[in-house]
Order: sequence, then structure tokens, then C-alpha cells
Amino acid sequence: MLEIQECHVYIGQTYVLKGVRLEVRHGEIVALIGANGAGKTTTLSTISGLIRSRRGKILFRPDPDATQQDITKTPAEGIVKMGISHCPEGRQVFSDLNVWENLLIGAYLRKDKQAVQSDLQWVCELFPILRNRRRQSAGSLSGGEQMMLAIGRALMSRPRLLLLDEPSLGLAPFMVEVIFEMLEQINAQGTTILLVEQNALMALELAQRAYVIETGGITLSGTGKDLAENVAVRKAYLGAT
Amino acid sequence: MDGYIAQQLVNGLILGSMYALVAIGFTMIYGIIRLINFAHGDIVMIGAFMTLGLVISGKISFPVIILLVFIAGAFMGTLIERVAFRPMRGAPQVTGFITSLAISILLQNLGILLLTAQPRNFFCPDYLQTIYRLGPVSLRAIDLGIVVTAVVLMVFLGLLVRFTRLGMAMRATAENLNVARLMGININHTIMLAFAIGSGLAGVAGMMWGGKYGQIDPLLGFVPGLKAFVAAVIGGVGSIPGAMLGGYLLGFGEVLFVGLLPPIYSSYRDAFVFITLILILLVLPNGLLGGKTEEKA
Repeated sequence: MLEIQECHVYIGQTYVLKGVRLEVRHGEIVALIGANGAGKTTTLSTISGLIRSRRGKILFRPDPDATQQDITKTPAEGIVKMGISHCPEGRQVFSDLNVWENLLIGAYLRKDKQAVQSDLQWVCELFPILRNRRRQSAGSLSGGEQMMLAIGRALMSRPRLLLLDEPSLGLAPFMVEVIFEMLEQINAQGTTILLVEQNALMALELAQRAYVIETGGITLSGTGKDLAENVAVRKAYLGAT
Repeated sequence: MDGYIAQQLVNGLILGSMYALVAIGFTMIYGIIRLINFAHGDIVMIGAFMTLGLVISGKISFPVIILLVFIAGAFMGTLIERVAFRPMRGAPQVTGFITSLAISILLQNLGILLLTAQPRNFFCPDYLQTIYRLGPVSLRAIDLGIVVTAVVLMVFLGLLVRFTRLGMAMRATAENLNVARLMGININHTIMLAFAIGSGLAGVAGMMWGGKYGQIDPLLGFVPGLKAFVAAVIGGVGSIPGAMLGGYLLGFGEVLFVGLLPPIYSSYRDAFVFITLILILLVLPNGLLGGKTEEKA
């Protein structure tokens, strides 16, 4: 579905991604784990078109039988249209807009009004709290609610591939459980997920496959289970001694 | 005395309407790309000359002139954005600020070159000069027109920003440029729209300026530009309701300061404006309706 080939990315003068290779297949949950500053967020921003890759290629195939497209140079607006939705780090809901408007703006490019309405219902079934809070400004929500809103907003564009940046960041453990359960459900309903996480334990448990990124390069990859048992990974990310 | 105060309040309302219209554009542009646009006042000047040109050239009715001047202002605003500010996007804030000063000087000098620095009399049709008396208060038809037009435009803008898809996109872009892009919003369009609306309003304010003062020259944009800046800061820069509130407060404040104190103080009216600004900022550093302290460059 998504193939990153040797991407080299600079932010200003800083060389951040040094030839990242990564693949996401249809229907998967793929986790990308790594320490602070390893390049996880940059990888997602490069896919979603916020940052341009200086060298390398990103290829995307929305459906198994669709033709593969080169999206390396597509701007962010175009990426959303193609079916990739990026739920950014730290939630970043629009705090001046109310909950309903936040969800509607997720569907900004869609012209199928009726389907948008039914997707609103779908998101509200996933996260019922959003319906109760729909007239409230998003800034007044708790962290967990904002996370739900951010995911709901990302789903409103009806993505084939959902990019999630640290959904567990700053949330209470039970809330993290809730969110991860939802991700499983969203995936089961047909959305492929690329998940970036510092909470490696939970991410590896959820993901079918995972990559470890270190200082701008992928150093390990395998099934979630394999990586969770890998000695180096356990030492570096799972707190094993 | 009561009649005198009532008259002053009406004068404040008229002045405030013009300040508010200019301040809205100023605050919209700042809100969306954090640009302090000192060329904004010069759009007022362009609007004033455009009006004069249209009035002289023929029998175009005033509502049509309002529309044409709005379009001309909007066109100038988007042109400036496209040519001068978009290439500076992502540069430090100071770069944009200096660019706007350069544009301002350029527009003023172009004005002098093409129109000479000689002040010109601003024509108003007779029916706009009719004086109405409401009890102790007297006002010209044009004053009434200024207030009504300003209020109509502001209500219209409020509805647009609050209830339309475009307005939602503008609010989202103003809050977070990058996340707005992730929603599929073309921020170049949104930014251009903010420039278009803001500059259109400034153009209409120029038309009012000419009608109110009766004389226009190519440097007239400086004062409304500066006052709009102050009004926007008082209201909380980036906030549209704040700009409206700031504009009216400034209008009332100025008129009452001149009207109620002995005449020898009247030349201090601009000093008064800035003292007020300083006092408000001491108590409320974000202005009256400005929310957050975060600074997005």
C-alpha cells in the first residue's frame, strides 16, 4: 500500500532522515518505534506532504487493485485527497472550533454530504463522548477527549491509510487502553494504520509488523511479536535489563 | 450639555466604524500569517482615490461604488500578498514586517507620482450631504451611510467566518497552519481570502474616509493604518470581534477626549490614543479579547 524508498529528509540544515525504507501493506497495523528525535514524526510528516523528501520516493496504492502513485512531491492537500490522513502529534485539535466543526473540517475536501453525515454518526459511535460535547469548544476537552476528537477528525476524510503520531502521549494509562482498543476496531473496519509510538510495549502488542528507527534510519523490522522478544529492543525500549 | 455629549458619541460612532473596518483586515492578516502589515493603511488611500475616480467618471450609484471599491481593495490586497508576502512565507516575522513597510512606501510614492501630492477635494453627491437632525444630534446622510455600511459589512463578515465552510477553514488556518493543511485546506487560498476580505474592507473604509474629511491625498493611509494597528492591539490582535471593539473604543475615546477636555488639549489626541494603548496592555497584555499568549512565528 505504502512504500518509502530511501528517503533523505532535511529540516532546515539538519539531516533528519537518512535513507528510510518502510512498507505498509493493506489492512495492517504497522508500528514505528524509536527514541525522541529518531525521526518518527518527520517520517509521518514526509508521507503526509508537510515536509519534502530531498531524495528518495514514496509510493502509494490506495486499494490493492488500484494503480500505484508516486506521492513524493504531492502537497499535503493532495495527500489527504488520495486517502492518507495524518493525526498529528500532541492532538492539535482546533481549540477555537467546537467539536462538531473539528469533525466537519476533517471532511473538508469531501463533496458527498450524505456520506459525511453518516461518517459523523460512525465516529460518534466509536467515541460517544464527542456527541455529548459537540457544541463545546475543542480546547475545553480533556486530553483523552481531545485525542478521540483528533482521531475522529482524521477519520472524517475516510482515509485508506491513517497515520497516527503518538496517540498515547500525555494520556492516563486507562485512556491509552481505550484508545488502543479503538484503533484495533478502526483497523478491523478496514483502515490501515501506521502508528508512531514511544510506548513501544503497547505499540508492539497492537501491531502486526513494526520498525525500529534510530537517528534517522530503520535499524530493525519484523513482526510485532518478534520485536517485542528481541533482546536489543527489550533493552532499549521496553525497560528490560 | 447632554445634547453635546450625544453629538460627540455619534461622532465617535462614525469614527469608530471606520477604524473598526480597517482594524478587521489588519487583525485578520495578523491572525492568519502573523504578519504586521503596515501597507494596510495604504489600501485605505487606494480605496479613497478609486471612489473619487468613480464619482467623477460618471453616474454610478453609491452602492455599486461600494462594491467596486471593495473589489479593487481586495484585488490590491491579494496582489500584494502574492507578489510581496508569499515569497517571504516562512521567513522570520521581522522580514514580513519590513516588507510591509517597503510596500507602504512604494504605494505612497506611486500615489504621489501618479496623482501628485496635492490634496484633492472629495466629491459627494448632494443627497449625501443632507443634514438630518435627530433631537439635539445632527448628522449628514453620509455619516449615517458610514455607520450603516460598516455595521452591515461587519455582520456579513461575522456570519461568513462563523457559519460557512470557508469561514471554518479560515479559523482553522489562523489557529494552526500545518494542521489545516493536513485537513486538505489549501492554505494559500485561505490566506489570499483573508487578504482579499481585509483589504476590501480597508478600501471601503477609504471611501468613507474621503466622504468624512472631504479631502484626500496619497499619504492619507498612514493615520488609519496606525489607528487600525492600535485598535487591533487593544482588542487583541488576531481577534475579529476584538478589532471591532478596539475600533469603536478608539473612536469614542478620541472624540470624547477632544470633546470633553478644554480645547488646548485637543492636539494631544494621538498621545491620548497611545497612553490608552499602553494602559490596556499593562493590564491585559493580549488585549481585551485576545486569548492565548503563544507566539507562532
